Amino acid sequence: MRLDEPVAENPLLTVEDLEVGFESFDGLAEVIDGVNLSIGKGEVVTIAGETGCGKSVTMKSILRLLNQPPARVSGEITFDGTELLSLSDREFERVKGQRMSLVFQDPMSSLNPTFTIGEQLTDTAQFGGDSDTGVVEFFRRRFSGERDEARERVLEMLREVQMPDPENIMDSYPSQLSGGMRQRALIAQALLNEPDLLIADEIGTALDVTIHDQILDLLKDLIENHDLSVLMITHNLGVARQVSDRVYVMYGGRIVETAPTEELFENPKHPYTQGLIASIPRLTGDEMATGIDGSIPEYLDPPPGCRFAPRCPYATAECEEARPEMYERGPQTGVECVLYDEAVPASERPTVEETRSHMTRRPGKQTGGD
Amino acid sequence: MKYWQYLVRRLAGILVSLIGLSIIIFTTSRVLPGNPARMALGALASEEQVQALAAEMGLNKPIPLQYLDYMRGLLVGDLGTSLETKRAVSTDIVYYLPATLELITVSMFLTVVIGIPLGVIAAQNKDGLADNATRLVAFFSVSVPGFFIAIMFQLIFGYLLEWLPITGRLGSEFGSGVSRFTGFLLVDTLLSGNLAAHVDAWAHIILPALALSLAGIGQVMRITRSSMIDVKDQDYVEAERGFGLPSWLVTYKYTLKNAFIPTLTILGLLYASLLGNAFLIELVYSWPGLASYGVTAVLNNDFNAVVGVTMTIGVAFVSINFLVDVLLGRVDPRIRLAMEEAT
Repeated sequence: MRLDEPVAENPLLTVEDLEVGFESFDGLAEVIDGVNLSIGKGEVVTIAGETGCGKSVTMKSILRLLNQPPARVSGEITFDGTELLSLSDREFERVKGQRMSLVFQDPMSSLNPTFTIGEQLTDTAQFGGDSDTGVVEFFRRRFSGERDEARERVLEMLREVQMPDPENIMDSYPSQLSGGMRQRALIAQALLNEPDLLIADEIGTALDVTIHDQILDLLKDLIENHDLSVLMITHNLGVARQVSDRVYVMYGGRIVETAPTEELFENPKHPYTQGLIASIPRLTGDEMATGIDGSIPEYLDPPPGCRFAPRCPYATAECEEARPEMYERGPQTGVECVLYDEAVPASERPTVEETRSHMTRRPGKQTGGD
Repeated sequence: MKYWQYLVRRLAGILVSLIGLSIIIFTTSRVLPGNPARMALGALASEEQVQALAAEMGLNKPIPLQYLDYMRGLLVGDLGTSLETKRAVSTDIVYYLPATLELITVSMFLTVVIGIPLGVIAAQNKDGLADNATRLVAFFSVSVPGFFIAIMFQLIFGYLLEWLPITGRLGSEFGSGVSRFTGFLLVDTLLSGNLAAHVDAWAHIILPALALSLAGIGQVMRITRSSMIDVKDQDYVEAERGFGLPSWLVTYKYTLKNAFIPTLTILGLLYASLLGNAFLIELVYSWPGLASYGVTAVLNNDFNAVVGVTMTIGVAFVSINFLVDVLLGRVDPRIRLAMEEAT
């Protein structure tokens, strides 16, 4: 059976057949090639994949952050019943400002260094999503009682993200804050206007591991308390496992596998996913896979069939000819690989261990050397 | 260390550099060839008269002693007598300095209110029509000499169109209606309650100020444009847009403040260079300012006036740079915080 689209129940955001190309001097680079994804209300969904697989481009096309040209975007992006790509810039800004919010990758560079945390966050609380506010209107509201209310809201939000000493932080500049505090400030800023959809790009990965864990725990609480739908983008499968309900694995501009988180980690299907999971370092075991051989495809001249075929240990001539279908393998589970055709007997499908055995390895309990 | 402590330390440093400047200028003015006493008395005076005057002026004492005498005078505001005007140099400076400062301040004002908005507009239309137009204007304004522009302005606006007066600071018909309070005519005319004179003062100052500011406008425009473009690409600006803040607010508050930091440094340097450039403009517009006074003094070996003018310009220069430091600390908290953390 073929899965056209692994749809979330009660979707808030759906992306259908998204294609993004970039014009360059060498021709059109077809980076995103037919991506389908959806996020249900209250669902936390992760797009995972290695650097260059197209996950950030997917996020940027949803948020209209790509400059067109050189980018060319087609497909359908529907947010709560509204088709986003056909909206005018102004209408889109309104939807984005009021209902979507994003947390950028790097907390060091995402706060304005010349304004206090209080100033930036209070402006966001007061005027975020009101992109039509004129100058006169701005000054009238800026110097009214509304400002104090907004400030109160910011303080409350800072307490909610467990910012230490929030009163003091309000008067501090970003350079006076640690990385973890800046990340908290950014999360607070993103949640100030009660968005429905939060898009988080590599959240916390710029921080050290202990803080990273605290931030993810905090995020989980916030998602629950604010009834958020979240699209997370990460190259770190551990993050996907810790926070999300469902995972999309992306490779070479396509979704190659999707499954509920538990299913994906216990029973990974696509050889690429298996390779990713096999390369997670383990404390036990005597050998360690160093990663999947090869590198992501050249987008200017991508492989005609499955884009993973050149790196896949199980690839056949069939794989190189045509793009495989997305086969449904259980609820909300799909995999784009010929090995999962009904006709293929289950015994011929690879396991993680098998995939691991095909990968370059180095002996465990030892450092250095190949 | 608090930022104000850093500034106090800077002030102490400024004092030291001013003393250094005074030593250099004083010594240079004394060892230059030419006898000031002879220059003062003219070719017809006898050798005895020259000797007597030299003794009276203290010129036959050793230079270090002359310097100490000079510095003692300086502390009570006595800069010696000008050989040219026969008045106290301090009186002359108080008389001429406001005219120059007024001219420079108005040009700085024009530089800021024209240069920065044009830079912002150029940045927002990067590689568009407005950007290329301002690029062309900047190119001409920086490469055409100020005095040439000054003469062209006189020709066009004064002679051909007859819109504006071309010389002086105020029409002669207002001479008696304005009393001198500060020496700044734009202020004095208001204090005298003479609105017509105030308008006339603006009419006189606008051409020289514009001619003087053009090169600076070009520079400020280009610097503002490139730093605006830099800042616009920063994550925090993208984030602020992403949160749906009004785009004018993001541009003029959150982008411009950061982009203003390099512009501010340029403005400080510009102010100082205007003090020098003002001379040609003052000459073209018969503007009775300090620059023309200073040049006359140099040409006539009027050493007290030379030292006085140089010291005044030196003080203005370091004050402006000090002011820029204070403002930079206000605009960019990272500078202030780095200072406070450094010690």
